[in-house]
Parts: sequence; structure tokens; C-alpha cells
Amino acid sequence: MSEHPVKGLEHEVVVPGENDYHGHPNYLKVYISLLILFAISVLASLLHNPMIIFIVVFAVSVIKGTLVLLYFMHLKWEPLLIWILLGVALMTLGFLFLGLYPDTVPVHRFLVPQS
Amino acid sequence: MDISLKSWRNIPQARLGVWTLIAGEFVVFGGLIVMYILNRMRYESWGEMARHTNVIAGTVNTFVLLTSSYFVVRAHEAALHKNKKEVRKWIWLTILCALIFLGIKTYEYTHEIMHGFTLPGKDLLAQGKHVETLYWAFYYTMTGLHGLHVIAGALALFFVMRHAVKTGKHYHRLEAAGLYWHMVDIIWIFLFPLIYLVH
Repeated sequence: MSEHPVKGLEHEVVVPGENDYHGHPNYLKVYISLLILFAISVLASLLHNPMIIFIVVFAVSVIKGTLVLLYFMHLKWEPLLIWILLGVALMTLGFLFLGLYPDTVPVHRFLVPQS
Repeated sequence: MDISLKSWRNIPQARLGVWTLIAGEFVVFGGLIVMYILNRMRYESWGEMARHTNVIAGTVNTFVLLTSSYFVVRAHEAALHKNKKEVRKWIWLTILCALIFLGIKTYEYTHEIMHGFTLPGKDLLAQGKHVETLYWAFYYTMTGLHGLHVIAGALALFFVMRHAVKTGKHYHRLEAAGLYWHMVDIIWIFLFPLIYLVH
């Protein structure tokens, strides 16, 4: 996608060129895929094992979120800087989970042999 | 994905600003979601509390938000063609979705509060259910904060659309407001199964 600077503010503001956008994916196809995934997560909740339900619905959520990011938010066509921004945010969450896991979930029951 | 240095400099500032905001919001909501998952793994009684949420209302709201995201991309598409009529139509439909979402959420809150599932959780505390009150604290914080973002997103879309339609300029701002709206949708995509579906 090409951009053009605003006159007089060439070094400060860049606005997108509205006439030559990168093009649009088939939004209806993406929307229908999202609805199908949504139906899968609702149906999965009817299973009996909470751990399996959690794994299935969370995995489906990740796929749905990725579809919205890539196609509705056009992340697929964004430069690397935007990917790095989001990557840092997601890594922070990963570290938060790993850091808090031993303090929150009673991990000792896995480590200390039970008599 | 363009990885050239030139492309980094040429990111429109409005879009870069919104993406930065989105990254920050992901950390805020992600932090809450991480803590919710960890506590859910720790306290089995949270599963019992989750049974008191209204799954049908949550399901309808998810459908409404997914549909609103579709309306926003259609509005963005119309904005690139400077089609005022279409922009107005799709943004108003999105705002209608936001109002439906908030209406259903209000109904849910009313129902839950009437059953004693309040933020201080006096009824639960009286029964010695301290851990269970924590569940409702998380529930109201996550969904309440998300609700505020729905209001903010709808207002942003309304004002940006009004300005673009009136002046015939600054259509690119619709993309920035639309990005924010999609972020609101993504957050709900993760909140819905965790709160409503995993018992």
C-alpha cells in the first residue's frame, strides 16, 4: 500500500493513500468461517470432560482471533513493526502465565511424592 | 508482510497509534484472562459458579459481535470507494449491534445481581464461599471493562463516520476506528468460551 504525506507536514504525518489500497479479502468467506468455528466451540461445550472442552474452545478461539487479526484487521498486509508490537504483547502474557503458574496452581502436589 | 525499512517509516500514524493501543489492550485483557485461567485451574468451585452464567445470552452476544465485525469491514470497503451512503449504512448497523450487545449484557447483569451474584458477594460470603466471590469479581471486571470498550468503540465509529460523511474527507480514520472495534471483538472471542462454556 502506498501512502502520501500531508502537505506542509511531510515529516510529521503520513495518511494512507485511499485509491490504491492492497485490496480486500473475501470478507463474507471469513465471516462464515468465523460462524462455523463459533458453532464448533458451542457444540464442544456439550462434552463432559472440562479439560477437553477447555482445550477445544481455547484452540478454536485462537483460530478465530487469528482470522480476525489477519483478514478483518489486515495484519497480513502490515509491515513487520506491527507484528513485533503484537508479538511483544503476546510474549509478555506468556511470561506472566509461566511466572504466576507455580504460585497459583498447587504445583507441589506434582513435585512432592504422595505417601 | 513487508519487512523493508521504508515500509516501517511509511505506516500511517493513525494506524500505528491504534495498533500500539491494541497491543496495550491485549496485555490488559490478556493479563485478566491469564489470571482467570490460573484461578480456574486452582479452584474447582469456579466451574460451579460458571454454570450460573446465561449461556444463551452469551451465545447471542458472540454472534452479534462477530456480525458487527463483518459490518465494519464492509464500511471500510465502502469508505475506500468514498461511498457515503454505504458507509453510513454499515456503521449504523454496527452501532445497532453494539446497542443489542449492551442491552443483552444489561439483562444478564440484572439477572445475576437479582440472584445474589454481586461484586461484594454478601450472600456468598455469608455462606463462607470466599473463593466463589472472587469468581464474580473477575466476571464483572472482565465483562464490565469489555462493555466500556464496546461503548468507546461505538462512539468512535459514530463520530468518525459523521465527520467523514459530512466533510467527504478523512475516510482513513474509519479504518483506525474499525481496528479498535475488531480488537473489542477479539477480546470477546476469548472471554465468551472461558466465562460461559467451560464449567
